[in-house]
Amino acid sequence: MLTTEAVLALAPDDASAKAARGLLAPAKWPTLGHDTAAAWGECQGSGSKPYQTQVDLSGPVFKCSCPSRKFPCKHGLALLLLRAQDTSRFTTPAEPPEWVRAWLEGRRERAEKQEQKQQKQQEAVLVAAPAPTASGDPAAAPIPDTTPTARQDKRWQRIDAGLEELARWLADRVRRGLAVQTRESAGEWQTMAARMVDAQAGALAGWLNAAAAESDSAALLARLGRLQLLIEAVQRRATLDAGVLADVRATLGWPLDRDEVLARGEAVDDVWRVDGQLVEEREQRLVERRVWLSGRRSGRRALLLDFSHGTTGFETSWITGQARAGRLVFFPSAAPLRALSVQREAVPESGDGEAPALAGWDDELDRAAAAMAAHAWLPLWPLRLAGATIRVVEDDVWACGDGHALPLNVPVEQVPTLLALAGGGLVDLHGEWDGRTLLLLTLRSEDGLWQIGRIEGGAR
Amino acid sequence: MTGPMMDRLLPIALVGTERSPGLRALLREVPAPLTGLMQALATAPEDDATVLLRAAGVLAVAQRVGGGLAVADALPEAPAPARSDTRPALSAEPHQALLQRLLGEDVPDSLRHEALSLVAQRGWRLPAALLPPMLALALRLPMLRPAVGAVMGERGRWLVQQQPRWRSIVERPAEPTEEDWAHGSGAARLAFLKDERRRDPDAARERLTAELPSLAARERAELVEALAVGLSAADEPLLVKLLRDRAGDVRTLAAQLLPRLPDSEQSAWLAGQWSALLRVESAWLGLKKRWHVEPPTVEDPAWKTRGLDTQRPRHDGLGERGWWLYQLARLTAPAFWPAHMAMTPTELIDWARGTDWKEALLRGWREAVLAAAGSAGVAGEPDAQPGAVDARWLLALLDCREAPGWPAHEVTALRSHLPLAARTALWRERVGSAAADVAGEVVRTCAQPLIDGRPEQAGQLDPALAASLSAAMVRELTDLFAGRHADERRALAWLDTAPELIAWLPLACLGAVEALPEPAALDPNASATTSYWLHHRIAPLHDRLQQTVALRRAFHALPVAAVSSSTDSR
Repeated sequence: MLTTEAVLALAPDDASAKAARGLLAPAKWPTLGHDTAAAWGECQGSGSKPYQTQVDLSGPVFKCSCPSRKFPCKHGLALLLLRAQDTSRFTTPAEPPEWVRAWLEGRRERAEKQEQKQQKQQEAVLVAAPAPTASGDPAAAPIPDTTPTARQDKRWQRIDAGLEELARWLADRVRRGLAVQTRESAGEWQTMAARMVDAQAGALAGWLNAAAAESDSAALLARLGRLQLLIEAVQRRATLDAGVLADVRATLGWPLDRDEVLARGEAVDDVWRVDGQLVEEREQRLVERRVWLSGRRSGRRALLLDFSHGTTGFETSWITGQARAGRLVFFPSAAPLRALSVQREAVPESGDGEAPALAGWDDELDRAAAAMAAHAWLPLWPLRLAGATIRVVEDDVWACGDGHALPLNVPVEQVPTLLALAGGGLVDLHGEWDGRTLLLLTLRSEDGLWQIGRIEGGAR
Repeated sequence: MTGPMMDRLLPIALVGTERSPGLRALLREVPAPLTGLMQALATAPEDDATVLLRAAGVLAVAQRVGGGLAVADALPEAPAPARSDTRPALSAEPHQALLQRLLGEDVPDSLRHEALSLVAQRGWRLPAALLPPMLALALRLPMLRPAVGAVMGERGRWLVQQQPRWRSIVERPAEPTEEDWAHGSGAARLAFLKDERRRDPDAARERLTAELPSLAARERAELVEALAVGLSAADEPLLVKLLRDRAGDVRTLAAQLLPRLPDSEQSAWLAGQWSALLRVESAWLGLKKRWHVEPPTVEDPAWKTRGLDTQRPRHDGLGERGWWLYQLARLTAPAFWPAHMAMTPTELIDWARGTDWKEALLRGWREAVLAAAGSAGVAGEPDAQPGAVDARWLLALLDCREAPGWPAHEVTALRSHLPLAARTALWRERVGSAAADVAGEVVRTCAQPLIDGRPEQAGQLDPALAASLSAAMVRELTDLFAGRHADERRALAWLDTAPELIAWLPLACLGAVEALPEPAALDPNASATTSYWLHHRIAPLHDRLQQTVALRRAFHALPVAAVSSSTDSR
């Protein structure tokens, strides 16, 4: 059963959450119903005909006849809020109304077709590769198919040319001195970033823009140094093992496509618990969602990375703190983390996920260190820290535990809420570690759960 | 370890490798565990710039890998954790959602106050996650501070200590202790001092006298307020001394308290001032007396030590002499006038209106009456103290033809000090003809005690008056929702007042509000104005009224919390 808190976390923005709260008056909902698979209701809008709102609880996946372009819309959210607050107003007929049944059946058929397709892809892989492991040992991963194609060769040529130029420019900047600001130098960064897009290494444009925006010169030098390592790795790519090569490609902005991952990636069956998630708005109305999972049996960590445009929302919802059984296929990497969710068990509302046991801080930090050592360009690694205290020292926020103190990155207006929940006592944290600071996504104390809201994106 | 190394690489990168030759030598010095790697880099065939970038890359990766090794001991000592709460948090649904709704913009403040008071009464506290928004609300609305203080619990008190800007919100302790005096906030210290004044006024005065020299101006003004409780002639020397305080607020407070001591030297001095300014003439062969007032013509240097504010604001409506007259009037006990001039307050006001100094006198009297009522109460009421004001002064001022032009908050304050019966009498006859106006006055008057910090007196409303006011409102709203409204001005007044009034009405009146019809569906041929009116004013009003009623019912139905027996601290 979804709590009010969990429902509000599904809202695409604060305005939607607020609007949904305004729709809770009984008079607005002439019909309300639910069963184990779905919830539905008719909501009286400003028009004569009420909107038909329905939620497939296995997702939850929303559908509404209103014209809103937000997803989920306020009616869908309000429906689940009503259900969270008081189920006695919902009827449970033997059969849901026709409009609900038709939609659910359509969804079921589509899901079955998709599953058959995936099954075929998986079977093709399984013929050539060992069975999916739950041990998480990367050595057991299927051996990737590296047959180059003409199209790939062509792209590598363009990248080589672009990176050669970038290397010359970088060396030149360091030769003349990074502190030397000429009238052209600000424009040079932009020109070089645009050049990377032309060279089909688009992600490096973001890397350069982030470097140009660094106010701390040591951090700037660190970024440029890692960029140099990337350039050199591309130069000797023939000698790299498959995982590192995949990391290099992903860092260039050329990740393996879905079919390749399904064909070559390691599949892990487990019960996956959502530790935390973040929806970040990036440039040009692009919305990025990062969902962080941990496997109850395997202890594996995984990242589900999805994108959507504007307010169209994401097809599947993941609810922080809940767990569901399923299969993930990991992108090949020296520090496997990003994964695709290929199969989720259709158990509606699998319930509160008992968290996989939390390790001590030393083990947790060692694991992050190992991942960052194996993958020099790994942007983020998820940390789960038990028994932390939150400290505010002047303007800095720290998470302390086991003798360690990690700088926390939290929205400044949220600091009082975090302090209120912790009360100086011990809390469990989950967040994204970039090697410098921990962006806090989830805080859990005896007094409740805090989750980060949607944020304006910035390169990290 | 890699950090210092990066710091040594940085100057070379900033100045440029073509101008600083030491790169290779530096790389040979790198300590373990990166020695081997850096030695190899030191002899790499590429140019210095490329080698530097590569070394920076290796160090950057090493830094990321070693990140998070900051040692907690380097931070200052952690504050002690919050003590555990004995009251349970009101965190179960639907109550947490109800509390959340109290934070909404369109919730009347009086409703917030009532709901929070009920939460406290039934033994609950706020859930931790709601403390920051609720404390922020209390910071914005001082009238909610006592109510928020009563439900913030140990966690709230702990949180307030962590956030300096919240310290002004802390609870005024119900039974303040020496501990509150020694370490409490300004409000807690004032609560302690007032409490002690009630028990032992002399001891409290001596405590205050001993403390004054070490206090800042704001703290002095805060604590001197305690003298209003249990004021007696024994306080006069201290008050006279405070008339010379460096802080204007302290001088004004002392000058407002002294008139409450009829035998004080200050009262005698003021009487002497008025004897010089007031003159009586006999007319009609001595059958009728006629009073004249003549303000001072020159500034008296003694005024500065008597609590007068001689700095007239540049754009004040009063002239210089009028200002002096007003200053003297506002420091004079209201009881002085009927005794000295043998006139009732109504007669005095009539007389003043016939002089050239009407503005100055009425303004001074109004302020003196409000100050006396605020500090000593109203004569004949249960909480009245020596120096309490005669209710006839309040009535006379409210009845004055100039009253509608005075600052609205002062008129409301005068009304709120009136005893309930007198206040009800003022309104009763007007409910029939001007219900909307009465409702507006009722709403403001009911809330005034919250603003003045005497919340126990807020919301006093005669049941019969409430019933007739509620009936008038329901009639008006029924018409409004049915699409009929005879008088636009009246309809607009109800739009603003109805949600607030509903927050004060007795629960027995709410059934009629719930039974109000839904706003009529829009006629498809309606004009744009009518359509706007319906969608943006009428329909939202209906929703707001129903939500206010629902919230009040929900909080009144709040169960009593089970008291937890565990008081162990974490």
